[in-house]
Amino acid sequence: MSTKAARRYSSALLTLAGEQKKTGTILKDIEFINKTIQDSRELSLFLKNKIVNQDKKQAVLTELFKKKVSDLTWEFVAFLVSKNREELLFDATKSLLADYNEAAGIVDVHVYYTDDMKPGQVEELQSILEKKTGKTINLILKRDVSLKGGLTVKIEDTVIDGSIKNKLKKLESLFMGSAV
Amino acid sequence: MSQVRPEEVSAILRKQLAGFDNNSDVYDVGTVLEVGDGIARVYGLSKIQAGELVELPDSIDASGEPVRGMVLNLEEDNVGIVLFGSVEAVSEGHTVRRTKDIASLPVGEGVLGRVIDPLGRPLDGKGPIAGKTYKSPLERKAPGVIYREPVTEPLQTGLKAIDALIPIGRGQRELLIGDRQTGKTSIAVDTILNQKETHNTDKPVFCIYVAIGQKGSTIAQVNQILEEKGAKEYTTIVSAPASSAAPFRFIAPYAGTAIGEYFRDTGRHALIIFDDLSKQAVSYREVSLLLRRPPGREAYTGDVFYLHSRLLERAAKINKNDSIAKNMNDVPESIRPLVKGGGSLTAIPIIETQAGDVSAYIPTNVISITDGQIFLQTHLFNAGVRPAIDVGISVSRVGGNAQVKSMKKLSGTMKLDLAQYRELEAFAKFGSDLDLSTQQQLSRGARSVELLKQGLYAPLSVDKQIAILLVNSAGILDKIPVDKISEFESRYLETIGLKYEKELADLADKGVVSPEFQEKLLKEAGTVSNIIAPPAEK
Repeated sequence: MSTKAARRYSSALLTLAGEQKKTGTILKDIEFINKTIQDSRELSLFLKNKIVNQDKKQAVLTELFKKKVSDLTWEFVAFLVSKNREELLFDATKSLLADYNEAAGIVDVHVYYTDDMKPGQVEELQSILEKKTGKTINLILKRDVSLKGGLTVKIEDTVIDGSIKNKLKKLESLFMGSAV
Repeated sequence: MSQVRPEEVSAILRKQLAGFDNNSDVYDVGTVLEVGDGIARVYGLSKIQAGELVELPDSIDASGEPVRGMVLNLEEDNVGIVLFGSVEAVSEGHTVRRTKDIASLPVGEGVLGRVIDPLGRPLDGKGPIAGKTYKSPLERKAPGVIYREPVTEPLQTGLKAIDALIPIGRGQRELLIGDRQTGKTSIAVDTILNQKETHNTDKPVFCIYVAIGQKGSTIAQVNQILEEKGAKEYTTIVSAPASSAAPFRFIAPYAGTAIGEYFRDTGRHALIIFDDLSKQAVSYREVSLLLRRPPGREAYTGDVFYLHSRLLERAAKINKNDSIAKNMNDVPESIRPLVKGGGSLTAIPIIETQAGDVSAYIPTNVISITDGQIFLQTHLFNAGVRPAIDVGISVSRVGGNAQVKSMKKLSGTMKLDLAQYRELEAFAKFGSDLDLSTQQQLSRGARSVELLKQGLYAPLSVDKQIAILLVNSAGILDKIPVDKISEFESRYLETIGLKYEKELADLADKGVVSPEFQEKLLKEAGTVSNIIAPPAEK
């Protein structure tokens, strides 16, 4: 989730990129910036720091990104800095990626499991989910032992809960005589 | 020794488990972003509805139950939720689960005689609500114009001052307004007690007492009085005490109204008392401000008028035609087959003023919404006029049409007497210097005021009210000293109660005093007055 202001900036960039037919390059650049900030705690703290003055931030960002990204992306970064909004950079990249994914019909699906799946099972799950949602699925697998068994699939806000934990809980409330 | 075979045991177990749904569950979730002051901001839950209940399965409160909440704000990137349970149990990152239930409570005959919270959970330790219950949403649209009828039937409060001068009809909304310690709750409780006799007729009135933001001890006291006087069996208490969470206090009146509507829509009569709406408005302000809605006058949000108007609009008299009533808007589907016409819901909201200031925001709002108001004054209360009703500024805009005939006739002269008395009251200290007619008016007024006094938890049936007011209008009381009026009243009522039981019942039924009976009553009054205040011998 990202802040409102970051979303305003990122949607502007995405629209502009679309108009100039540079969406592919921009996307690559933004992914690169996103990963750089995510990997470096120092950089993310540096960008958020209010004490460090504007020129220093500008200098650091120039050295880091100017040569490695396209002109449009660099203009975007420079614009953020000139507006004193450099702390929004990470949020803006996140929201741009999310907006792009939504427009392109790509959904993140989290799958929680307990035991390793058999070969082919993951692919089968992916194809079933893609058929069901009608979207391209970006499968994110996570082991969660507390489920005790079974699978839990989370597509955006909707959870398909087939875990043993949930079934035990339902059984408990059935025994207690209250509604599930 | 008898034995149970293992196969038998497993067969029984299997049978009990047969209802178990072994399929996967599908539900929507969100994540708590921040929590505090009884409010949680949640990310996700993109398909949620306003007013929907949510559950936080990770947040287990002291009683071992998951915390629940209600969605109030839908914003661009988050959802504002008010929490019903302990906030301490909730922390950042906890899962929030949709229940797909709009906030509602179970209603039915079983809620009578119970003390429940605004979500219908019993608080009196008498186990679950008995009998068939129907789920009814807290927020329901008020019935439309074609499903309504003008107010024509009286709702007797058992208080002479109200029934004679500020009558309330079934389906009316009458405001009880006054400072603290002026007897607002007592009038409300008296009214509930007086509905007991309606349960011997074919038009019983069921009662709902909604306690909002009150001390637990006060609620317990009301509960005890109702129980002692045998009024509990037709009354439900919806309790949202001062210790409960603010959202509970703000939804309590809607919960009470949902119960009242069940009786109203099934063709019966109900009375609901909101004690009090000023505290509800304060709770709503608390919740609204925490959700960062913009404040307006007295820091209430702009929709505080709608908060009360949509609530009180739900009090109504329903068209007596069953086929019209059946089509009523917004009836829960479970209740629709039971719908009958001719029911009513009478609302008596209570507002507490600060130092008699009725021009504050909430009092003016509720005065303008209701069909009349009963003002209670501290100075009257302290002067021993109890109930401390200020007859001069209290009004009932629709109740007059619902008054019984004889009462209407008597109340007309009484209103005039009292109005003249108030005008002349300032001259009372000149005593014998005044001319005869002024003196007469003063003495009549003083006796009328004395007559309207009434003890606590002693409601009077309408026939007896008529009988005593008749004596006043005939001028018999003028001969009795003011301090002996109450003695006269109790003696007179006792005598006629014994002698004319049948005639009084007839009067209560028809609402008209026959000339013969009137003569008998006046004669009886003359006899009693001669005993209390013997005429001076010449």
